[in-house]
Amino acid sequence: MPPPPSIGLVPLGSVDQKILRHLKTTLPGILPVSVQLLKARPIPLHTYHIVREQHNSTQLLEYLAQDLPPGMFKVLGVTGVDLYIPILTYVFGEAQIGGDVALISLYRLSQELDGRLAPPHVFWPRIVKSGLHELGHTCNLKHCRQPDCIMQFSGSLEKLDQKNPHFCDYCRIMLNDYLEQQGITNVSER
Amino acid sequence: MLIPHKKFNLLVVDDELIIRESLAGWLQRDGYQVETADHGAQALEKAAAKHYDIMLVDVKMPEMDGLTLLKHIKEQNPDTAVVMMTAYGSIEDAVEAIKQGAFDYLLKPFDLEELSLTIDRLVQIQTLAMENVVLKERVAKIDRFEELVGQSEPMLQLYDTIMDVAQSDATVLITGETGTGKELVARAIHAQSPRGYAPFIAVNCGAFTEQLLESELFGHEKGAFTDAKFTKKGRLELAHSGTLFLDEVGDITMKMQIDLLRVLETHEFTRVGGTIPLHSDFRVIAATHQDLLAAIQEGTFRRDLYYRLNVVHIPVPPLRERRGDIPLLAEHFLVRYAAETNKKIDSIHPEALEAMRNYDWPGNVRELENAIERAVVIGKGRQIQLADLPFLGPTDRSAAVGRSLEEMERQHIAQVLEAEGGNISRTAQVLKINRTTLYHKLKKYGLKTCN
Ligand SMILES: [Zn+2]
Ligand SMILES: [Zn+2]
Repeated sequence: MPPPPSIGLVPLGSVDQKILRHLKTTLPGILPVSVQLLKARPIPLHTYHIVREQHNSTQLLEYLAQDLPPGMFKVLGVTGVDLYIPILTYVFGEAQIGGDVALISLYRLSQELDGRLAPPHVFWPRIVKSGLHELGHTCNLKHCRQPDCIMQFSGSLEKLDQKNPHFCDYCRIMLNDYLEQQGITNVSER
Repeated sequence: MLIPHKKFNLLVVDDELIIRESLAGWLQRDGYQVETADHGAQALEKAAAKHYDIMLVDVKMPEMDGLTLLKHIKEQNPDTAVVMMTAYGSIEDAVEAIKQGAFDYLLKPFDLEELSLTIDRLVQIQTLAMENVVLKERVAKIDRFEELVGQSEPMLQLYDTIMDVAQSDATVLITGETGTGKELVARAIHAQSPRGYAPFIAVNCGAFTEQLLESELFGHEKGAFTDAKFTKKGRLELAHSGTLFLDEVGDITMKMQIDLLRVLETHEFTRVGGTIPLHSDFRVIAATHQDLLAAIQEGTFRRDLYYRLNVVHIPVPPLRERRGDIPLLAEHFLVRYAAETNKKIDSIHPEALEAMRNYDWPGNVRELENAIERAVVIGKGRQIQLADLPFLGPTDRSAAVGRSLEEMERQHIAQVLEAEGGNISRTAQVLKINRTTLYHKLKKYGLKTCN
């Protein structure tokens, strides 16, 4: 059996190592992948919007895609800064649909609904779920309307907290289709 | 929750590239088909050529501002729902827009939840509107038994294929343009087959939202969702020992494709909200006017489902490829509608017949049928005249009830064109579309300018 495809984790700016290690151990239990921790990269200045005091998520994604580490199936960027796209007030993350890179921000995930810092048992599952959701997009998955599917759109922390970190049957089938198309066979049903 | 039909088309109109790109990208993630326009005139041009369910329009744009665009859209495409996009500075304009018929407005930058709520709400409303139209159409053409008519070489071949295929139990995929009579072919196969005495159950997959199609096909248990007051058998169950006809199969969502494939493989399923596996023995005939191979390339149709359906492929020729059958078909419809309306019309003037033979019939047999029906209704003498045919003569609006939008459009264009003496520029002005669009439509409908 060929080794599972690798997902490269790239911290953008400084990111707590514990969080990265948590993603590294959790993701392979849900997706048929192995995860590699890659070298941190600085956040480029041009992605910062002075008035909004946020970083442009699309530009950060492009930066991440510019110089891809070799041998990676997908790259997931993790950053502590708050992200936006021009038409929306903020986003939890963004991904290129069917592309190489995805990005998640810890900024809002780290907060309780009342704005205080969230404890790890609340915070960490959100990171895993956001990461999975965005990686799903890189595998060509769109938003799903099945209840209890990770590809369901969630625009708020409440909705994100309600979701479970797994793909519904339909998304799993489409995910397997995508992996097969990419020449990744022998995908175990996990 | 209502689930959008995959055919929802959105148009984003904004002069700022960055807004167009980020908004379109975001909406695509929700599974909508999104296009963009960078100014009002372009938006109108696009809307003239294609139907958009929802338009997101920026209030402040150079040249034609959002309010003016809204006014034009409301005239040109009253079925399109418009959402205005505005910055804090111009809320008054947005409020004015609501008064003038915009559905809602959103403040830039949008809140994630608000954007998706607004779009969801709109999709829900548009979906209901769509279902009403479908219901009306269904009532309007309550199945009278019809048969395939034609003696041309392509039709003779088609009859042979039907007879061959009917004897087997193989799944059939019928392809062809709208109005070519794909359902008639399916009914003929069923009637000639050993299943001919069992039911023929048709489902127009393009007419339902995902949720409704699911309960139409699989049925539902009492209480499965809010409106499920009784347990209802699905069409898969009703088709037991007969034939299930899946019309417009190219229109179903990816999720339904997965469900359908599973059923075609096992013939087992459960009702929505139910747990008991049901078994049904039916033959499947599917039809589509779409190019499924292209859809597979685009990733909107599953290859495995395609192979499952396309065991036997039957292409139905468009009417323009069997012009020899036009007199026969015209005669056939003439006899029927003359009898239905009790009018003593029994022939067609050679000039009119010649014009019919030369016309391209983009709406195929159905369009020809509608033309004859109308000619019978408005005809004064015992013979159908060239002037009685809508694609050449002036039209009578009262006779146009129950026709397709496309045909209404064609008739309307023909009417205006004649009133303007065949002048393209003036016709375009009256129709409030540009000349390119008009040329496009003239070509599409086979209309000719008088001079
Ligand atoms: Zn998403
Ligand atoms: Zn799903």
